[in-house]
Amino acid sequence: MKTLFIDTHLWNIDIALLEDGKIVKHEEVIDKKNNSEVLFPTLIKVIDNTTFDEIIVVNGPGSFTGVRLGVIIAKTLAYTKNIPIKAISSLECMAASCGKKNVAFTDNNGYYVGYFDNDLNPELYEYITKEEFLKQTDIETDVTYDYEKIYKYALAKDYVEPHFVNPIYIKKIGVEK
Amino acid sequence: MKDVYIMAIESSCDETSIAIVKNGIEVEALSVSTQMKTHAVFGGVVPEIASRMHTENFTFVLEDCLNKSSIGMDRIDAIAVTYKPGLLGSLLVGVEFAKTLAYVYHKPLIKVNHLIGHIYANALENELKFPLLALVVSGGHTELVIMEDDYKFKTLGATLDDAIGEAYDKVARVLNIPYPGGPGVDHLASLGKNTYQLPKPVLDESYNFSYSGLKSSIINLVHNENQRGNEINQADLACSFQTTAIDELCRKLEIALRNTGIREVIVAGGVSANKYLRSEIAKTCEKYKANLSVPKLLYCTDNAAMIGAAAYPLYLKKEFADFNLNPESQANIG
Repeated sequence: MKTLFIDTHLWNIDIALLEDGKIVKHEEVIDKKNNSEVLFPTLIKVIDNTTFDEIIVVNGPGSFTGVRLGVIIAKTLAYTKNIPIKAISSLECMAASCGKKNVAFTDNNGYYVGYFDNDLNPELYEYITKEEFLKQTDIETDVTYDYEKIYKYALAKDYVEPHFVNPIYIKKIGVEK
Repeated sequence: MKDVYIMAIESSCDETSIAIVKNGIEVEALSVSTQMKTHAVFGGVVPEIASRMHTENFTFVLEDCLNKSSIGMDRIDAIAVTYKPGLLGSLLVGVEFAKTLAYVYHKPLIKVNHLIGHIYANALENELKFPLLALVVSGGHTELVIMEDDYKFKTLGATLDDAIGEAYDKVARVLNIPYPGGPGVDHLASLGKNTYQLPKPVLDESYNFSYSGLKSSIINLVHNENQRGNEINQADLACSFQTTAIDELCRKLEIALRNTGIREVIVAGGVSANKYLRSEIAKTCEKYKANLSVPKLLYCTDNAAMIGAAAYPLYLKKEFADFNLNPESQANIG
Protein backbone atom coordinates (compact mmCIF):
# COMPACT_ATOMS: atom_id res chain seq x y z
CA MET A 1 0.00 0.00 0.00
CA LYS A 2 1.47 3.33 -1.10
CA THR A 3 0.35 6.41 0.82
CA LEU A 4 0.77 10.09 -0.02
CA PHE A 5 1.05 12.03 3.24
CA ILE A 6 0.52 15.81 3.14
CA ASP A 7 1.01 18.09 6.13
CA THR A 8 1.05 21.90 5.94
CA HIS A 9 -0.51 22.67 9.31
CA LEU A 10 2.11 25.16 10.47
CA TRP A 11 3.04 26.41 7.02
CA ASN A 12 6.00 24.06 7.05
CA ILE A 13 5.63 21.78 4.10
CA ASP A 14 5.92 18.08 4.91
CA ILE A 15 5.11 15.72 2.05
CA ALA A 16 5.99 12.05 2.14
CA LEU A 17 5.40 8.94 0.10
CA LEU A 18 5.05 5.90 2.36
CA GLU A 19 5.02 2.24 1.48
CA ASP A 20 3.20 0.30 4.19
CA GLY A 21 4.11 3.12 6.53
CA LYS A 22 7.79 3.29 5.67
CA ILE A 23 9.20 6.42 4.04
CA VAL A 24 10.06 6.01 0.35
CA LYS A 25 10.34 9.72 -0.49
CA HIS A 26 10.21 12.75 1.79
CA GLU A 27 10.34 16.49 1.11
CA GLU A 28 10.31 19.14 3.82
CA VAL A 29 10.37 22.93 3.49
CA ILE A 30 10.75 25.08 6.57
CA ASP A 31 10.45 28.63 5.30
CA LYS A 32 7.50 30.80 6.12
CA LYS A 33 8.10 33.41 3.44
CA ASN A 34 7.15 31.91 0.10
CA ASN A 35 5.55 28.58 0.90
CA SER A 36 2.64 29.13 -1.47
CA GLU A 37 5.20 29.31 -4.28
CA VAL A 38 7.06 26.16 -3.28
CA LEU A 39 4.16 24.00 -2.03
CA PHE A 40 3.05 22.59 -5.37
CA PRO A 41 6.57 22.15 -6.82
CA THR A 42 7.47 20.29 -3.61
CA LEU A 43 4.48 17.99 -4.04
CA ILE A 44 5.51 17.31 -7.63
CA LYS A 45 8.99 16.25 -6.46
CA VAL A 46 7.35 13.52 -4.37
CA ILE A 47 4.60 12.31 -6.71
CA ASP A 48 6.06 12.69 -10.21
CA ASN A 49 6.63 9.36 -11.98
CA THR A 50 5.04 7.36 -9.21
CA THR A 51 1.61 6.17 -8.15
CA PHE A 52 -0.12 5.99 -4.78
CA ASP A 53 -3.14 4.12 -3.47
CA GLU A 54 -4.38 6.51 -0.80
CA ILE A 55 -3.92 10.03 0.57
CA ILE A 56 -3.61 11.01 4.21
CA VAL A 57 -3.94 14.75 4.75
CA VAL A 58 -3.41 16.65 7.97
CA ASN A 59 -6.50 18.85 8.22
CA GLY A 60 -5.44 21.05 11.15
CA PRO A 61 -5.57 22.64 13.54
CA GLY A 62 -2.74 25.10 12.85
CA SER A 63 -2.13 27.91 10.38
CA PHE A 64 -5.52 28.56 8.74
CA THR A 65 -4.02 29.26 5.33
CA GLY A 66 -1.42 26.51 5.61
CA VAL A 67 -3.99 23.85 6.44
CA ARG A 68 -6.36 25.10 3.77
CA LEU A 69 -3.84 24.79 0.96
CA GLY A 70 -2.79 21.27 1.98
CA VAL A 71 -6.45 20.27 2.17
CA ILE A 72 -7.58 21.84 -1.15
CA ILE A 73 -4.72 20.12 -3.00
CA ALA A 74 -5.28 16.77 -1.26
CA LYS A 75 -9.06 16.67 -1.74
CA THR A 76 -8.78 17.79 -5.38
CA LEU A 77 -6.15 15.10 -6.07
CA ALA A 78 -8.40 12.49 -4.42
CA TYR A 79 -11.51 13.69 -6.25
CA THR A 80 -9.99 13.93 -9.73
CA LYS A 81 -7.79 10.81 -9.54
CA ASN A 82 -10.46 8.83 -7.68
CA ILE A 83 -8.04 7.88 -4.90
CA PRO A 84 -9.32 7.19 -1.38
CA ILE A 85 -8.53 9.90 1.17
CA LYS A 86 -8.57 10.19 4.93
CA ALA A 87 -7.93 13.15 7.20
CA ILE A 88 -5.90 13.12 10.39
CA SER A 89 -5.45 16.03 12.78
CA SER A 90 -2.06 17.54 13.56
CA LEU A 91 -2.65 16.69 17.24
CA GLU A 92 -3.45 13.05 16.39
CA CYS A 93 -0.16 12.86 14.45
CA MET A 94 1.64 14.07 17.56
CA ALA A 95 -0.20 11.76 20.00
CA ALA A 96 0.36 8.79 17.69
CA SER A 97 4.06 9.64 17.36
CA CYS A 98 4.86 10.04 21.08
CA GLY A 99 2.17 7.80 22.58
CA LYS A 100 1.23 10.48 25.15
CA LYS A 101 -2.36 11.43 26.03
CA ASN A 102 -1.85 15.22 26.14
CA VAL A 103 -0.03 16.98 23.34
CA ALA A 104 0.37 20.62 22.31
CA PHE A 105 2.11 22.94 19.90
CA THR A 106 2.34 26.71 19.60
CA ASP A 107 1.60 29.04 16.70
CA ASN A 108 3.71 31.73 18.43
CA ASN A 109 0.62 33.35 19.97
CA GLY A 110 -1.07 30.59 21.90
CA TYR A 111 -1.18 26.81 22.09
CA TYR A 112 -3.27 24.17 20.35
CA VAL A 113 -3.80 21.38 22.88
CA GLY A 114 -5.20 17.90 22.30
CA TYR A 115 -6.43 15.61 25.09
CA PHE A 116 -6.73 11.90 24.25
CA ASP A 117 -8.11 8.82 26.02
CA ASN A 118 -6.09 5.69 26.87
CA ASP A 119 -6.51 4.35 23.34
CA LEU A 120 -5.35 7.73 21.98
CA ASN A 121 -8.77 8.66 20.66
CA PRO A 122 -9.19 12.45 20.75
CA GLU A 123 -11.44 13.75 23.53
CA LEU A 124 -10.95 17.50 23.30
CA TYR A 125 -9.05 20.06 21.21
CA GLU A 126 -8.68 23.62 22.40
CA TYR A 127 -6.70 26.77 21.73
CA ILE A 128 -5.38 28.46 24.86
CA THR A 129 -3.18 31.46 25.66
CA LYS A 130 0.47 31.11 26.66
CA GLU A 131 -0.44 32.04 30.24
CA GLU A 132 -3.11 29.33 30.42
CA PHE A 133 -0.70 26.84 28.89
CA LEU A 134 2.01 27.53 31.48
CA LYS A 135 -0.47 26.57 34.24
CA GLN A 136 -0.96 23.11 32.67
CA THR A 137 1.23 20.14 33.55
CA ASP A 138 1.97 16.87 31.81
CA ILE A 139 1.53 18.07 28.23
CA GLU A 140 3.97 16.87 25.61
CA THR A 141 5.27 19.55 23.21
CA ASP A 142 7.86 19.59 20.42
CA VAL A 143 6.80 16.15 19.24
CA THR A 144 8.74 14.78 16.27
CA TYR A 145 6.66 12.90 13.74
CA ASP A 146 7.06 9.13 13.53
CA TYR A 147 5.54 8.40 10.12
CA GLU A 148 5.19 4.70 10.66
CA LYS A 149 3.26 5.24 13.90
CA ILE A 150 1.09 7.90 12.23
CA TYR A 151 0.38 5.47 9.37
CA LYS A 152 -0.60 2.70 11.80
CA TYR A 153 -2.79 5.10 13.80
CA ALA A 154 -4.54 6.15 10.57
CA LEU A 155 -5.27 2.51 9.63
CA ALA A 156 -8.21 2.62 12.04
CA LYS A 157 -9.70 5.64 10.27
CA ASP A 158 -12.31 5.41 7.52
CA TYR A 159 -11.90 6.94 4.09
CA VAL A 160 -13.93 10.11 3.57
CA GLU A 161 -15.75 11.33 0.45
CA PRO A 162 -13.28 13.95 -0.96
CA HIS A 163 -16.01 16.65 -1.05
CA PHE A 164 -16.24 16.44 2.73
CA VAL A 165 -12.55 16.58 3.61
CA ASN A 166 -12.26 20.00 5.23
CA PRO A 167 -9.98 21.80 7.67
CA ILE A 168 -10.59 21.99 11.40
CA TYR A 169 -9.72 25.38 12.81
CA ILE A 170 -10.43 25.29 16.63
CA LYS A 171 -9.11 28.85 17.18
CA LYS A 172 -11.94 31.38 17.00
CA ILE A 173 -11.82 34.29 14.54
CA GLY A 174 -13.02 37.84 15.24
CA VAL A 175 -16.59 37.47 14.00
CA GLU A 176 -17.10 34.22 15.98
CA LYS A 177 -16.20 35.78 19.32
CA MET B 1 -8.89 25.98 -36.72
CA LYS B 2 -9.57 23.54 -33.94
CA ASP B 3 -11.93 24.77 -31.21
CA VAL B 4 -10.22 25.76 -27.96
CA TYR B 5 -11.89 24.90 -24.65
CA ILE B 6 -10.59 26.62 -21.54
CA MET B 7 -11.66 25.66 -18.03
CA ALA B 8 -11.54 28.79 -15.87
CA ILE B 9 -11.43 29.14 -12.08
CA GLU B 10 -12.48 32.26 -10.13
CA SER B 11 -12.28 32.78 -6.34
CA SER B 12 -11.02 36.33 -5.81
CA CYS B 13 -13.80 37.36 -3.42
CA ASP B 14 -16.97 35.61 -2.28
CA GLU B 15 -17.96 33.67 -5.40
CA THR B 16 -16.58 30.20 -6.13
CA SER B 17 -16.93 29.76 -9.87
CA ILE B 18 -15.81 27.42 -12.64
CA ALA B 19 -16.60 27.76 -16.34
CA ILE B 20 -15.77 26.08 -19.61
CA VAL B 21 -15.43 28.64 -22.41
CA LYS B 22 -15.10 27.84 -26.11
CA ASN B 23 -12.78 30.01 -28.23
CA GLY B 24 -12.96 32.84 -25.68
CA ILE B 25 -16.48 33.82 -26.71
CA GLU B 26 -18.94 31.01 -26.04
CA VAL B 27 -19.89 29.80 -22.56
CA GLU B 28 -20.12 26.03 -22.68
CA ALA B 29 -20.87 25.72 -18.96
CA LEU B 30 -20.82 28.04 -15.95
CA SER B 31 -21.18 27.18 -12.30
CA VAL B 32 -21.22 29.85 -9.58
CA SER B 33 -21.57 29.26 -5.87
CA THR B 34 -22.17 32.57 -4.12
CA GLN B 35 -21.54 33.16 -0.42
CA MET B 36 -23.51 36.39 -0.39
CA LYS B 37 -26.08 35.28 2.21
CA THR B 38 -23.35 34.09 4.60
CA HIS B 39 -21.50 37.41 4.48
CA ALA B 40 -24.69 39.50 4.59
CA VAL B 41 -25.00 38.57 8.28
CA PHE B 42 -21.73 40.45 8.94
CA GLY B 43 -22.55 43.42 6.67
CA GLY B 44 -19.69 42.68 4.30
CA VAL B 45 -17.31 39.98 3.13
CA VAL B 46 -15.31 38.36 5.97
CA PRO B 47 -12.07 37.27 4.23
CA GLU B 48 -11.36 34.26 6.49
CA ILE B 49 -14.89 32.90 6.01
CA ALA B 50 -14.65 33.44 2.24
CA SER B 51 -11.44 31.35 2.12
CA ARG B 52 -13.07 28.59 4.18
CA MET B 53 -16.08 28.40 1.92
CA HIS B 54 -13.97 28.24 -1.25
CA THR B 55 -12.16 25.23 0.27
CA GLU B 56 -15.48 23.54 1.03
CA ASN B 57 -17.07 24.37 -2.33
CA PHE B 58 -14.54 23.86 -5.11
CA THR B 59 -14.95 20.13 -5.80
CA PHE B 60 -18.75 20.52 -5.73
CA VAL B 61 -18.58 23.43 -8.19
CA LEU B 62 -16.29 21.38 -10.46
CA GLU B 63 -18.76 18.48 -10.40
CA ASP B 64 -21.64 20.84 -11.18
CA CYS B 65 -19.76 22.53 -14.04
CA LEU B 66 -18.81 19.19 -15.64
CA ASN B 67 -22.39 17.94 -15.25
CA LYS B 68 -23.63 21.00 -17.14
CA SER B 69 -21.12 20.51 -19.95
CA SER B 70 -20.98 18.12 -22.86
CA ILE B 71 -17.20 18.64 -22.81
CA GLY B 72 -15.19 16.33 -20.58
CA MET B 73 -11.77 17.03 -19.07
CA ASP B 74 -10.09 15.22 -21.98
CA ARG B 75 -11.30 17.95 -24.39
CA ILE B 76 -10.08 20.84 -22.20
CA ASP B 77 -7.03 22.64 -23.66
CA ALA B 78 -5.97 24.71 -20.65
CA ILE B 79 -6.81 25.62 -17.05
CA ALA B 80 -7.11 29.37 -16.37
CA VAL B 81 -7.22 30.95 -12.93
CA THR B 82 -7.67 34.40 -11.41
CA TYR B 83 -4.43 35.25 -9.60
CA LYS B 84 -4.90 39.00 -8.91
CA PRO B 85 -6.34 41.26 -7.54
CA GLY B 86 -8.55 40.11 -4.68
CA LEU B 87 -8.59 38.65 -1.18
CA LEU B 88 -5.27 36.85 -0.85
CA GLY B 89 -6.60 33.89 1.15
CA SER B 90 -9.39 33.32 -1.38
CA LEU B 91 -7.07 33.65 -4.39
CA LEU B 92 -4.65 31.14 -2.82
CA VAL B 93 -7.32 28.44 -2.62
CA GLY B 94 -8.32 28.95 -6.26
CA VAL B 95 -4.73 29.02 -7.49
CA GLU B 96 -3.75 25.77 -5.70
CA PHE B 97 -6.98 24.13 -6.88
CA ALA B 98 -6.20 25.17 -10.48
CA LYS B 99 -2.61 23.91 -10.22
CA THR B 100 -3.90 20.53 -9.05
CA LEU B 101 -6.27 20.27 -12.05
CA ALA B 102 -3.51 21.35 -14.46
CA TYR B 103 -1.15 18.75 -12.99
CA VAL B 104 -3.60 15.86 -12.86
CA TYR B 105 -4.94 16.39 -16.39
CA HIS B 106 -1.61 17.54 -17.95
CA LYS B 107 -2.99 20.90 -19.11
CA PRO B 108 -1.17 24.23 -19.36
CA LEU B 109 -1.98 26.74 -16.63
CA ILE B 110 -2.95 30.34 -17.53
CA LYS B 111 -2.92 33.17 -14.99
CA VAL B 112 -5.57 35.86 -15.45
CA ASN B 113 -5.95 39.36 -14.00
CA HIS B 114 -9.48 39.61 -12.60
CA LEU B 115 -9.93 43.22 -13.85
CA ILE B 116 -9.01 42.21 -17.38
CA GLY B 117 -11.51 39.38 -16.90
CA HIS B 118 -14.25 41.96 -16.29
CA ILE B 119 -13.28 43.71 -19.55
CA TYR B 120 -13.38 40.42 -21.49
CA ALA B 121 -16.84 39.63 -20.06
CA ASN B 122 -17.90 41.80 -23.01
CA ALA B 123 -16.32 39.35 -25.47
CA LEU B 124 -18.98 36.83 -24.36
CA GLU B 125 -21.62 39.21 -25.78
CA ASN B 126 -20.10 41.11 -28.68
CA GLU B 127 -16.89 40.93 -30.63
CA LEU B 128 -14.37 43.42 -29.19
CA LYS B 129 -13.55 45.98 -31.89
CA PHE B 130 -10.30 47.85 -31.33
CA PRO B 131 -9.45 50.54 -30.50
CA LEU B 132 -12.05 50.83 -27.76
CA LEU B 133 -12.68 52.80 -24.60
CA ALA B 134 -13.17 50.65 -21.50
CA LEU B 135 -14.80 52.07 -18.40
CA VAL B 136 -13.97 49.79 -15.47
CA VAL B 137 -16.20 50.32 -12.44
CA SER B 138 -16.02 48.05 -9.40
CA GLY B 139 -15.59 47.95 -5.64
CA GLY B 140 -11.86 48.49 -5.99
CA HIS B 141 -11.42 50.27 -9.31
CA THR B 142 -12.69 53.20 -11.35
CA GLU B 143 -10.66 53.52 -14.52
CA LEU B 144 -10.97 54.78 -18.05
CA VAL B 145 -8.72 52.81 -20.38
CA ILE B 146 -7.97 52.74 -24.11
CA MET B 147 -7.57 49.24 -25.46
CA GLU B 148 -5.69 49.21 -28.76
CA ASP B 149 -5.67 45.45 -29.17
CA ASP B 150 -5.94 42.29 -27.07
CA TYR B 151 -4.01 42.98 -23.86
CA LYS B 152 -2.80 46.39 -25.08
CA PHE B 153 -4.00 48.88 -22.46
CA LYS B 154 -3.38 52.60 -22.02
CA THR B 155 -4.87 54.08 -18.86
CA LEU B 156 -6.37 57.53 -19.43
CA GLY B 157 -7.38 58.11 -15.84
CA ALA B 158 -8.32 56.43 -12.60
CA THR B 159 -9.75 57.29 -9.22
CA LEU B 160 -7.50 59.41 -7.04
CA ASP B 161 -9.00 57.95 -3.86
CA ASP B 162 -12.06 55.69 -3.43
CA ALA B 163 -13.54 53.51 -6.14
CA ILE B 164 -17.15 54.18 -7.14
CA GLY B 165 -18.25 50.77 -5.79
CA GLU B 166 -16.70 51.56 -2.44
CA ALA B 167 -18.71 54.82 -2.29
CA TYR B 168 -21.88 52.82 -3.05
CA ASP B 169 -21.10 50.38 -0.22
CA LYS B 170 -20.50 53.21 2.28
CA VAL B 171 -23.65 55.08 1.27
CA ALA B 172 -25.63 51.84 1.55
CA ARG B 173 -24.28 51.42 5.06
CA VAL B 174 -25.30 54.90 6.29
CA LEU B 175 -28.73 54.40 4.70
CA ASN B 176 -29.01 50.99 6.46
CA ILE B 177 -29.30 49.09 3.19
CA PRO B 178 -28.17 45.48 3.72
CA TYR B 179 -25.06 44.02 2.01
CA PRO B 180 -24.50 43.99 -0.93
CA GLY B 181 -25.49 47.65 -0.94
CA GLY B 182 -25.03 48.60 -4.60
CA PRO B 183 -28.26 47.12 -6.00
CA GLY B 184 -30.16 48.45 -2.96
CA VAL B 185 -28.96 52.03 -3.51
CA ASP B 186 -29.77 51.71 -7.22
CA HIS B 187 -33.32 50.57 -6.43
CA LEU B 188 -33.92 53.20 -3.73
CA ALA B 189 -32.57 55.93 -6.03
CA SER B 190 -35.10 54.97 -8.70
CA LEU B 191 -37.86 55.89 -6.21
CA GLY B 192 -36.45 59.32 -5.34
CA LYS B 193 -35.58 62.70 -6.79
CA ASN B 194 -32.27 64.51 -7.13
CA THR B 195 -32.93 67.15 -4.45
CA TYR B 196 -29.84 67.18 -2.21
CA GLN B 197 -26.97 69.48 -3.12
CA LEU B 198 -23.83 67.34 -3.08
CA PRO B 199 -20.27 68.28 -4.07
CA LYS B 200 -19.28 67.34 -7.61
CA PRO B 201 -16.38 64.84 -7.57
CA VAL B 202 -13.65 66.40 -9.79
CA LEU B 203 -14.58 69.47 -11.73
CA ASP B 204 -11.69 69.39 -14.17
CA GLU B 205 -11.10 68.17 -17.70
CA SER B 206 -8.73 65.35 -16.68
CA TYR B 207 -9.73 61.70 -16.88
CA ASN B 208 -9.33 61.17 -13.15
CA PHE B 209 -12.11 60.39 -10.71
CA SER B 210 -12.62 61.03 -7.01
CA TYR B 211 -15.35 59.57 -4.84
CA SER B 212 -14.11 60.07 -1.30
CA GLY B 213 -15.40 63.65 -1.02
CA LEU B 214 -18.85 62.66 -2.23
CA LYS B 215 -18.89 59.70 0.15
CA SER B 216 -17.83 61.85 3.14
CA SER B 217 -20.38 64.55 2.35
CA ILE B 218 -23.18 61.95 2.53
CA ILE B 219 -21.88 60.52 5.80
CA ASN B 220 -21.67 64.06 7.26
CA LEU B 221 -25.08 65.05 5.93
CA VAL B 222 -26.75 61.99 7.48
CA HIS B 223 -24.89 62.54 10.75
CA ASN B 224 -25.82 66.25 10.96
CA GLU B 225 -29.47 65.70 10.12
CA ASN B 226 -29.66 62.92 12.73
CA GLN B 227 -28.10 65.29 15.33
CA ARG B 228 -30.69 67.93 14.54
CA GLY B 229 -33.45 65.38 14.71
CA ASN B 230 -34.38 66.00 11.07
CA GLU B 231 -35.64 63.16 8.98
CA ILE B 232 -33.77 62.24 5.82
CA ASN B 233 -35.58 61.44 2.63
CA GLN B 234 -33.61 58.25 1.96
CA ALA B 235 -34.80 57.79 -1.62
CA ASP B 236 -33.99 61.40 -2.52
CA LEU B 237 -30.55 61.15 -0.94
CA ALA B 238 -29.84 57.86 -2.76
CA CYS B 239 -30.98 59.46 -6.01
CA SER B 240 -28.88 62.58 -5.45
CA PHE B 241 -25.80 60.45 -4.70
CA GLN B 242 -26.33 58.15 -7.66
CA THR B 243 -26.96 61.03 -10.08
CA THR B 244 -23.79 62.82 -8.97
CA ALA B 245 -21.65 59.66 -9.03
CA ILE B 246 -22.79 58.37 -12.41
CA ASP B 247 -23.00 61.75 -14.13
CA GLU B 248 -19.33 62.19 -13.37
CA LEU B 249 -18.55 58.87 -15.10
CA CYS B 250 -20.52 60.00 -18.14
CA ARG B 251 -18.85 63.40 -18.20
CA LYS B 252 -15.38 61.81 -18.24
CA LEU B 253 -16.42 59.27 -20.85
CA GLU B 254 -17.74 62.14 -22.98
CA ILE B 255 -14.39 63.97 -22.75
CA ALA B 256 -12.66 60.78 -23.88
CA LEU B 257 -15.08 60.26 -26.78
CA ARG B 258 -14.49 63.85 -27.88
CA ASN B 259 -10.69 63.81 -27.55
CA THR B 260 -9.86 60.33 -28.85
CA GLY B 261 -12.41 59.96 -31.61
CA ILE B 262 -12.84 56.32 -30.58
CA ARG B 263 -16.41 55.10 -31.11
CA GLU B 264 -16.36 51.70 -29.42
CA VAL B 265 -17.19 51.70 -25.69
CA ILE B 266 -17.36 48.86 -23.21
CA VAL B 267 -18.29 48.94 -19.53
CA ALA B 268 -16.82 46.39 -17.12
CA GLY B 269 -16.87 45.52 -13.43
CA GLY B 270 -19.49 44.87 -10.76
CA VAL B 271 -20.98 48.38 -10.87
CA SER B 272 -21.82 47.86 -14.56
CA ALA B 273 -24.89 45.99 -13.25
CA ASN B 274 -26.25 49.36 -12.07
CA LYS B 275 -29.41 50.22 -14.03
CA TYR B 276 -29.00 54.01 -13.95
CA LEU B 277 -25.38 53.68 -15.10
CA ARG B 278 -26.43 51.45 -17.99
CA SER B 279 -29.08 53.90 -19.21
CA GLU B 280 -26.96 57.05 -18.77
CA ILE B 281 -23.86 55.60 -20.47
CA ALA B 282 -26.13 54.50 -23.32
CA LYS B 283 -27.36 58.09 -23.73
CA THR B 284 -23.79 59.43 -23.79
CA CYS B 285 -22.77 56.87 -26.41
CA GLU B 286 -25.84 57.63 -28.50
CA LYS B 287 -24.93 61.31 -28.53
CA TYR B 288 -21.57 60.43 -30.10
CA LYS B 289 -22.95 57.60 -32.23
CA ALA B 290 -20.60 55.20 -30.43
CA ASN B 291 -21.24 51.47 -30.12
CA LEU B 292 -21.76 50.42 -26.53
CA SER B 293 -21.22 46.97 -25.02
CA VAL B 294 -22.30 46.17 -21.46
CA PRO B 295 -22.11 42.59 -20.18
CA LYS B 296 -25.38 40.89 -19.36
CA LEU B 297 -26.09 40.92 -15.63
CA LEU B 298 -24.86 37.36 -15.10
CA TYR B 299 -21.40 38.37 -16.35
CA CYS B 300 -21.22 41.72 -14.53
CA THR B 301 -20.69 40.13 -11.13
CA ASP B 302 -17.71 37.86 -10.44
CA ASN B 303 -17.81 34.73 -12.56
CA ALA B 304 -15.35 32.31 -14.16
CA ALA B 305 -16.72 32.67 -17.72
CA MET B 306 -15.08 36.09 -18.07
CA ILE B 307 -11.80 34.57 -16.85
CA GLY B 308 -12.06 31.97 -19.60
CA ALA B 309 -12.67 34.73 -22.16
CA ALA B 310 -9.66 36.74 -20.92
CA ALA B 311 -7.47 33.60 -20.95
CA TYR B 312 -8.08 32.89 -24.63
CA PRO B 313 -5.69 35.52 -26.12
CA LEU B 314 -3.04 34.31 -23.62
CA TYR B 315 -3.63 30.72 -24.75
CA LEU B 316 -3.08 31.74 -28.38
CA LYS B 317 0.17 33.48 -27.38
CA LYS B 318 1.13 30.41 -25.28
CA GLU B 319 1.61 32.58 -22.20
CA PHE B 320 1.51 29.82 -19.62
CA ALA B 321 2.20 29.96 -15.89
CA ASP B 322 4.40 27.68 -13.77
CA PHE B 323 3.46 25.62 -10.74
CA ASN B 324 5.11 28.23 -8.51
CA LEU B 325 2.41 30.79 -9.44
CA ASN B 326 1.68 33.03 -6.46
CA PRO B 327 -1.42 35.24 -6.20
CA GLU B 328 -1.27 38.99 -5.52
CA SER B 329 -3.88 41.02 -3.66
CA GLN B 330 -3.26 44.28 -5.56
CA ALA B 331 -3.23 44.86 -9.30
CA ASN B 332 -4.02 47.32 -12.02
CA ILE B 333 -5.14 46.74 -15.56
CA GLY B 334 -2.27 45.84 -17.84
